[in-house]
Amino acid sequence: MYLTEEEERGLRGDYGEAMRLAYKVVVKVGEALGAPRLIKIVNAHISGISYKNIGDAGLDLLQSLADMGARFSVPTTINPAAIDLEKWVHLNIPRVFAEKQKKIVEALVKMGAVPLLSCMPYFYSKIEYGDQIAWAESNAVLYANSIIGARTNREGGPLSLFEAIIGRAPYVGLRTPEGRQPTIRVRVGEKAYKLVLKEYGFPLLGYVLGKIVKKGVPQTDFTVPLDEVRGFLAAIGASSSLGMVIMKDISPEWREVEVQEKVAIQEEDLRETFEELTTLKEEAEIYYFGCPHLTLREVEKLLEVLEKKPGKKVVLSTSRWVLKEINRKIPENVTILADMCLVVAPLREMGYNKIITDSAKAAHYLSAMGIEVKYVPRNIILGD
Amino acid sequence: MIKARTLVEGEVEGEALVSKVPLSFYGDIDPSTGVVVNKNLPIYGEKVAGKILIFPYGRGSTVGSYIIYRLAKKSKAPLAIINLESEPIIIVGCVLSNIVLVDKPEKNIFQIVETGDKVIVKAWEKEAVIEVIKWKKR
Repeated sequence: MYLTEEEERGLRGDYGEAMRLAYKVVVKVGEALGAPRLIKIVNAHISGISYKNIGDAGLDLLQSLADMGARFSVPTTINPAAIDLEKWVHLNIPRVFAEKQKKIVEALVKMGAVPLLSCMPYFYSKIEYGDQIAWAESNAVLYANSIIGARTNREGGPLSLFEAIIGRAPYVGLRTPEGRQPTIRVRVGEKAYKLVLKEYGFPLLGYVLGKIVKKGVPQTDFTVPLDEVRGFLAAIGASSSLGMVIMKDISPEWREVEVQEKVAIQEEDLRETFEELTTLKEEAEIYYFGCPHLTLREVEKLLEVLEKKPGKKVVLSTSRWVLKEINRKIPENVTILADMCLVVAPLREMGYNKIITDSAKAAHYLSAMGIEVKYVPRNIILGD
Repeated sequence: MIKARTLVEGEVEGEALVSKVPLSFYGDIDPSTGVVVNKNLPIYGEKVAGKILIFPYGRGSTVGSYIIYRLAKKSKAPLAIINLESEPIIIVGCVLSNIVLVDKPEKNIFQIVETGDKVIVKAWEKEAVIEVIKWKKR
């Protein structure tokens, strides 16, 4: 791999041990992926923040890096944690667990991270078309590439950490113009599309798309309503390793081009996947909205409807910055959590074992954890 | 002798532990003991510590990198890893922990090496060399 003089110096250890280690990691990964060189990034977003996921192994590494003097070279935000940093005492979360989670956040802040603790950095950081960034959260990666036209691969938590330290990433994949060409065209059958609108919702459509396409860069022939884009993309991230979808009427890089490979999503694909995502057999204990984190407008809309449904126990998750701006009374049956999301939380300790959610992504991960779960589109949950 | 690509340099000698299916260090392997805990794996119950661990590629959560690092700190990590093709989870973990890593072996390693064989990995140059010493079947 070609390295500039400055990069060579970093790799040699001229800028300290932490920098040397970070360069070594990123260069090795780049070489293995066949990248010809590194490219400077303007922003990073690190995932793998939850103590439930990274455990003592992750805490250990983050603390040693911080103590070694590692510092982020670009503006860096972090994904949700396992606890609400202010409300955790009321959530049945063990004290030892909470202390370790706080230490993870402290180590990252010491290295210079903004403790955003949210999966929607695209509403916080000023990212523009064409920017090279290193984001690790899949829904954010899909949003950045597909909606903003910024450039990042799905870096993964540890790799994004080291890329943030050196301010560079391997120039490969979705960072290159060739890597962003559509590889497959996706259409939805007419009946299937009607079913999406009426019964299944766009998160399920995204989940099916990811399951069918799996890799490459799909280009869609159908439209997704703007309010549904995030749920749609998040679901694609959960069922595939895709990092970009070129969406009709939305993506800045959508072009009328000939793509050899084509696929159509039909009714039975939707039906099958809907069944697969459901493991809940009895009544739900809670209804969960907020994967990805809710925007202020979404929270306020939900609160308006939920006020009139006092029987339902509801959990919402969003970022701390949105929570501070909520200008409505929060009804008694509703809990709003910040800094965290249920997908990375210690759910058993919290006593949440049976969940209905409007997020196909959350349904995917919760069911993998052994939680009984059912995916139901938001308008249907709120309507019945 | 099998040629391969060096990703993390070093020279080690040890007993092979072979899984023909991809591994996820997060979930498949206990981070404090290095024992394979996923019952669906052919190497279930085995310890990865001190072994030359051979598997096609890493899968699953990127937290796997941290698990490799943790195992190494507790001296429960493999001596070396041989993959058909390494992906970032395994590469990051091995670089952080200084575990010898080679991939893209020139011959079909799963036909040549079995669990229990003695394997020497010499990974100093860009091209690594893997030597295999078969034990007579008892």
